[in-house]
Amino acid sequence: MTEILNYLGMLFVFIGALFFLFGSIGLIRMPDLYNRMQASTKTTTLGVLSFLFGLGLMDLQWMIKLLVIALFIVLTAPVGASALARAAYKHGIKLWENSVVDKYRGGKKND
Amino acid sequence: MNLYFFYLIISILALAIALSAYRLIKGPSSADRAVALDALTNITTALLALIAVISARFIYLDVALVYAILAFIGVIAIARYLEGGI
Amino acid sequence: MEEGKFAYVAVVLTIIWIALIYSPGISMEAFLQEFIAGVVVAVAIAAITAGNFEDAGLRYFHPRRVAYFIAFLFIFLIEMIKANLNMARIVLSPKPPVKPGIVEIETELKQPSARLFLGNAITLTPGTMTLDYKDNKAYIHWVYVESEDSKKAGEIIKGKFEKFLKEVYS
Repeated sequence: MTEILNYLGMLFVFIGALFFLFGSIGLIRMPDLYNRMQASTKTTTLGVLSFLFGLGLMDLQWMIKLLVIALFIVLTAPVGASALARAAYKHGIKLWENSVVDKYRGGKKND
Repeated sequence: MNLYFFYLIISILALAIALSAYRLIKGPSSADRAVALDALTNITTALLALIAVISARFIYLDVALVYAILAFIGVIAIARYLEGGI
Repeated sequence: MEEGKFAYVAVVLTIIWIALIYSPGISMEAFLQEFIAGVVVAVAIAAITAGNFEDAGLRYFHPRRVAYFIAFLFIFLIEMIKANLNMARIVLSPKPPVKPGIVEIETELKQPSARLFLGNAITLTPGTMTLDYKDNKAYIHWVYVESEDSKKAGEIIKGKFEKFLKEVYS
């Protein structure tokens, strides 16, 4: 039983690490700040959740504390990203030139 | 507890950290750097938890927890600064 | 009403405290000591801060609300995994299929914590990110804009989340 849980934990940890890698690639490849933010926030949040859950499966007694950390990150990472995106918008960082619509500034295409 | 497995995980995380650090250095704006920093702190939290598991010290998990809390406060502070709040 | 808020804050703080102090092999005696100290501090904090919460209360522990909230969490987890696979596909494709824009949707939720959960759920699900709330409107950044109309966009973006949250906060 512990063997199976151990291998399952390894699988989750590996998936989490892969999602971190995808987030970093997105950080490099996406065209503008807001798209980059989407890529990195989503993938690293699920990455942390999967990574810590996998570590918890390896030793079940650690599970509660690891889940507390994961839950904290899942609750706060989107809040931080939202605050940062809004601050960047108000700071004057433009959307990507091929963006189709910007309702936040009254429906006009950004100029 | 397979040592080679941990080598694999740590090398993937190192690659992710290197790519994020590239964005952190290159910019171009300060908000881009803040986003890269946010991603880096998430990866670092996971890495701290991994170190706790490898060295089998439960108390090290508290370091990861406090680091996550401080990182969140840091991101909010940067956001407030960019918005002109402080 | 005030007492309900006070008890709610104290109970939630105590639950968080228990999750934080638990460690493998802790003795019963040490656990009881920590637990009592934690309860005292939780009650003190609740007495000071309970007035600041606009919408807390013991009624959120009603089994029906808790059941709906757990269902919400499950749907959220599934959507989150879908979102990440989608994001991985976008990131790894040779020419990222993006068509970004900021759209406006309407929400009927009033309570601040309900809006927090809706905003978090939107941020972590496929291709969308909450930018700001103004009155009953939310501004959403979308990686691939499918509809600029606020009604249609709202249906696509909010999905089932708003229904479940409405049940929780009814």
